[in-house]
Amino acid sequence: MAHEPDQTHVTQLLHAAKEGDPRASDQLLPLVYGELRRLAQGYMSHEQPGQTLQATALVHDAYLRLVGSKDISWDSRGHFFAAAAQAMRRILVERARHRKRIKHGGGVRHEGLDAAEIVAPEIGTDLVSLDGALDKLAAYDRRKCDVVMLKYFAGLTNDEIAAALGVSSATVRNEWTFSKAWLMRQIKNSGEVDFDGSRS
Amino acid sequence: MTTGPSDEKQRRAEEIFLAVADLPRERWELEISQRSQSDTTVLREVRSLLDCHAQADDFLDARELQAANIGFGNMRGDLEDDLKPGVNLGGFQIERLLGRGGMGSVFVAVQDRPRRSVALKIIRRGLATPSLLRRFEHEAEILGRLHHPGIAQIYEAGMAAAAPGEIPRPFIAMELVNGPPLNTYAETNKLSTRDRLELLAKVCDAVNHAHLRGVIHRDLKPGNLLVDERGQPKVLDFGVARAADSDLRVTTMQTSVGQLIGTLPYMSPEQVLADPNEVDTRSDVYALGVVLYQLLTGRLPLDFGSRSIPEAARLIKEETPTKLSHVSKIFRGEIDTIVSKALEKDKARRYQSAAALADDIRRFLRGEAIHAREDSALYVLRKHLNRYRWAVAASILFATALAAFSFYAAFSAQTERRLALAASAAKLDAEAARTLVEQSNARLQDELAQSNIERGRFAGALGNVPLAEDLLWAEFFDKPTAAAPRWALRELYAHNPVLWTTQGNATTAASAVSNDGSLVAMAARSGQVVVYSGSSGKPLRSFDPIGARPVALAIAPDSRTIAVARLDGRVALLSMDEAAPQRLLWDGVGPVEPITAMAFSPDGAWFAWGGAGKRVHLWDARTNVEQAAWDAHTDTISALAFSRDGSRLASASRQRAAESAARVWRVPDGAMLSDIVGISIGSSTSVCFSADSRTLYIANSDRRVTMHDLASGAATTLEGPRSSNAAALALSPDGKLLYTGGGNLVYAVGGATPSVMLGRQRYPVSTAAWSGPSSVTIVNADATIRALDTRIEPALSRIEGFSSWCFSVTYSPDGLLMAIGGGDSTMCVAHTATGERLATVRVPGVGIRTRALRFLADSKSFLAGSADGAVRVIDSATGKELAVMKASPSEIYCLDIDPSERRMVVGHMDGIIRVWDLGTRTLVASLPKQERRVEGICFTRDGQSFVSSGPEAALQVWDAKTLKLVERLPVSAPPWGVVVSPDGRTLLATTYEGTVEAFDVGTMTRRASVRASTRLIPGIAFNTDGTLLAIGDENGIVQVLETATLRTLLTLDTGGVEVVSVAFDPSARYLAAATSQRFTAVYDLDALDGSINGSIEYHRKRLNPDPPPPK
Repeated sequence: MAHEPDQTHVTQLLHAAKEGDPRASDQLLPLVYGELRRLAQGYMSHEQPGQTLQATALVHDAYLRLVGSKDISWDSRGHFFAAAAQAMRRILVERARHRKRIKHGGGVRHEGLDAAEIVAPEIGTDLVSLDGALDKLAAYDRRKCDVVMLKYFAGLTNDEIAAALGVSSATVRNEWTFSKAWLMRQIKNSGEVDFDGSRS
Repeated sequence: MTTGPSDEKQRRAEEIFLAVADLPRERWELEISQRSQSDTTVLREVRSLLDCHAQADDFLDARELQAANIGFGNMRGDLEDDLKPGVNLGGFQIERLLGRGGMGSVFVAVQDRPRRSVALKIIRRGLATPSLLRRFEHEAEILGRLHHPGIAQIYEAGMAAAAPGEIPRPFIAMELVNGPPLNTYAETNKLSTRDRLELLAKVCDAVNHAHLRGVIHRDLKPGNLLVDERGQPKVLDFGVARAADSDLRVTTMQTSVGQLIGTLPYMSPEQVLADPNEVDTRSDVYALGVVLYQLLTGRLPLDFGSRSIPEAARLIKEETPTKLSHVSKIFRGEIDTIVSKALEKDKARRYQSAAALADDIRRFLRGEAIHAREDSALYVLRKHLNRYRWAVAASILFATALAAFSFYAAFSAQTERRLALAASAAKLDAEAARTLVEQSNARLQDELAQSNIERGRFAGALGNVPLAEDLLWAEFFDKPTAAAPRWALRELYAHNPVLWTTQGNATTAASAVSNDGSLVAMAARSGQVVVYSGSSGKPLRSFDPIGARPVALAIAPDSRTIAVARLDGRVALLSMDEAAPQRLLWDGVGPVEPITAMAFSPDGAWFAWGGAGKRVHLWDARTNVEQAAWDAHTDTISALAFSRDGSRLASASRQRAAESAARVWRVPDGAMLSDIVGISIGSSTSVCFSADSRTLYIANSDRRVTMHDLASGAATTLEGPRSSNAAALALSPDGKLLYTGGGNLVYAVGGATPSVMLGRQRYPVSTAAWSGPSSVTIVNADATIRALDTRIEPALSRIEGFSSWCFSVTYSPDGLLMAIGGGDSTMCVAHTATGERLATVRVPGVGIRTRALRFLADSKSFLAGSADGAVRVIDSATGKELAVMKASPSEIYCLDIDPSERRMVVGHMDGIIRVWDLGTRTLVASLPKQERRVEGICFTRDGQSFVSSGPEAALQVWDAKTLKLVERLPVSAPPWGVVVSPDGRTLLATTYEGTVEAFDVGTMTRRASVRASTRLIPGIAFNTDGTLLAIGDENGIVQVLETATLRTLLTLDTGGVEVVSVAFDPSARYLAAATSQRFTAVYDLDALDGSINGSIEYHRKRLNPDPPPPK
């Protein structure tokens, strides 16, 4: 594979992020984002078009590639999954917006579309609305948003989230129960969502 | 946009929401109105949240993103297969969809000709890139060659279009298996354990069939193992995974997470590592192990719970599965061993083939000894023990009991079997039966001895020296000529060196060892004092009784004066000078105060004593005048010790709660410098200063030894097993090591972890002193005097100076020299006895390995085969290159010459054996190229033929004249080393599976095969008379085997990661092992005999206290 992720660099960044260096988290996100997209491309060039892949599996895959099987502490790992959840959220929401644009804008399918583009899943959840609701949730309580992101986009278990955020599993469960209800109501109340996701 | 409640109200609402959300719905309204205190904003907020909560069950289900495939790539919508029932594809009529997988879908279809139902696997259109198609065809062809009742047969593979004009699609038509997965089948039919095992053995057969044809399954799991109507298990999807290069990453990609979770538990550590090069047939063996585990217990060996994939991967790599026997006791014993071996993390330690697994299962079912068991517990234990000697020691007692039991169990099982055999034979013929019983008895005797030796070795490995000595010395005296007991004793003392042992006066009341270890004094209850040499244990002088019962002893630093404290409160001074009379030092007045502690200062200037009077008395040792005396403690003084410079005196006292236990005084005025509280001290204790007087060591009454920093007052407990009262403490002459008698341990001063364990003592160590830089003289409570060697491997020396592995080692026939081949383009010639490097030979090139070395009979030169393909003739004395023979650049693995030294055969990496004329140094022939490199080669003693390690699991016998292959000798695994015994009768080979196989040269039949290691044994060598065999394996273990029985006599750990080559010197005194750790280890086997010879008389008397009088 042409691209070799620099595990040492990522591990260093995770370490710095754990030490509280905000720039480290900033640097991590594009790296993870890039890696997720690269992984997709890599699979494409491996002669297996039409493959399917799951968001959460892809995140874990990116983890293995960027961090490897090193035994790093959960609070360091937490930074990775936070960045990955953020990246995955962006990718999925981008794709969902794109899809909406196609639907609403005449459904032109561009042949030149990036072959490695990740296609948003056909699922019940309106990702674009969810994206907006999550922003609101973060404004109310940052940690609640983190819990949802780690659980939904990175596929972590309650225990893993608890370890990553440094709270108890019971807290994670509570935050999750509340956030789900809260987000659902937010989406219901938010009214129509425009193509670009901005609220009318 | 609606304005929400204020932040504070929102928090309040959240609180109420969480308090209520888990309650039954009908109680919600009541609860919230009670809690919201009529705040309508909060009330409304909670209601609306609860309303959503009631519907939010599936909302944001974390599995949503997992379950839904996120496609990427060509968005042509061809992810769904559009083949409807009735469609005909290449002569197969689709009936119904059976299932969908990552690569495509499987349909039930009916083949036109021959008319039969088949499973039709159709590869997804989008997957059909040209290169994938090529690979697919290749796979289909290989799979088509698999014909086994246990493998779903591939009928046809090809490309066909469903309708004219459509793009043709690749398909595979295979046997349709009607039946449930393996474990469902077992459950529904309530199969017994035996039936389940038989079922799995059949699966192994099928998998092995494929392995032998180079096909690895890579995805064995119950879902791929169906059982048909006749109860025949069928393996599906063979090699299909390979078509997509199944590593973790790709598996993640091409299957849904749901499927991956179904697959992950069956993935071996090497598969999880996602290195496709590491995945081989043994990965399938691992999967079979998981399937077997699940089949027997109904659960998976590792519990993944809700762990993420990286976490699960880590578990697979690191976590040892719950033992089968812990799941249910019915799986205790061999079946547990079998499953554990299949599930080894390290594939080199697993069953090396599915056939081996099946074989052990069937052996178990037939009640025969399984092979996995021969992976001797002792071997594994010793290995762990040598690596973590100290950590393991904590479990000594338990493990010894366990070991003793298991040997007993194994032994009695064998006995029973033999007796049963004899009994059944008796029915046939009484006379024959008697013979059989006699033979059987002889075997039993032999096995009992062997069992005792094994138990003794086991006990020794665990540090239980007393038990080991009992068992091994008994066997030693029973059969003085047998090799096994002596070797087991060598092994014992190699790890627990005891230089010598003598028995002192059995009724000893007090003992002392002089500071320099040169004298040992013992006082009997009768008052008689005997002085022994501290270097040999021989009695030197016996004194007349001192007139009262002795309580304590001290030897003056000049070794001329011995002080004996008497129960009547007086000190008798005995002089080693013959003429000097006994003197009483203290003839004081007042109450009788028994003296319990005495000490001389190291410079001989002071003598201190104390006892029940609780006072310390300080005397000028030269004038015998009391200089000072002071109240020191509130109870009897139990120990006294001076610092090395004599400026400090430490006292310890039997301590009552919260009172000071030990104090340090200034000499001579008795000013108190330190007061140590908080530890408990009994009547038998010891105190000891570090050389710089800054630290005080105290032996506590609870068997601990504590280390006290006198400046800071900080106390540390020394770690280590505490098997007896740790009374004795001794500081080495250089002040760097501390010996503690309780655990028989040596610590580096300042450290709290033992650096050397000297093995358990039968009785507590009463007194001890260092008699040299690496020897301690001790007196045990049973009055035995022992000298212990404190070096870890006293018999080991190392030849170093290599910058890479040592690949080969050999001795010259005259025994003077040894040659070592390195991996760093060098070789060296060293002096056998001293290990001194005499010459270094350099081979041109970088990192050139020399794996093959062979001295010529006159010892004047040797042949060296190197990785550049050249055999060099090297002058032994100077290391000069005399000639080079090179016909190929292919690396040389082995070489040998015939007894007449005319022919040389060389085994190369390229699989070719090249034959040279040594006289003319010309290439005579290159034998046909083999599939595998030639790793071992050896001439028979008559020079008529030579034997090489062949491809696959066989040796090849070649006619040395015609150079034709005359025979193939199958071995149980691919062979490496090949040697012929000096008498020419036995041919031995080592294998990749750690077996040693013996062949009779005359008949070329296999005589025996033993499993001596868990890994490849590259090193094998005979001693000169051929009675002993040395082997060295990739675990870094060297063993000496008895050639006649192939029993292990001695095991040594070189500490190297791999041993590549071993050699005996002609006198069999030295045993050398070339290791991957850049050194060659040389063991002096005679040095090991020192311990035996030093203790033989003691043990003879001990084990035969009353020899029968001669008639």
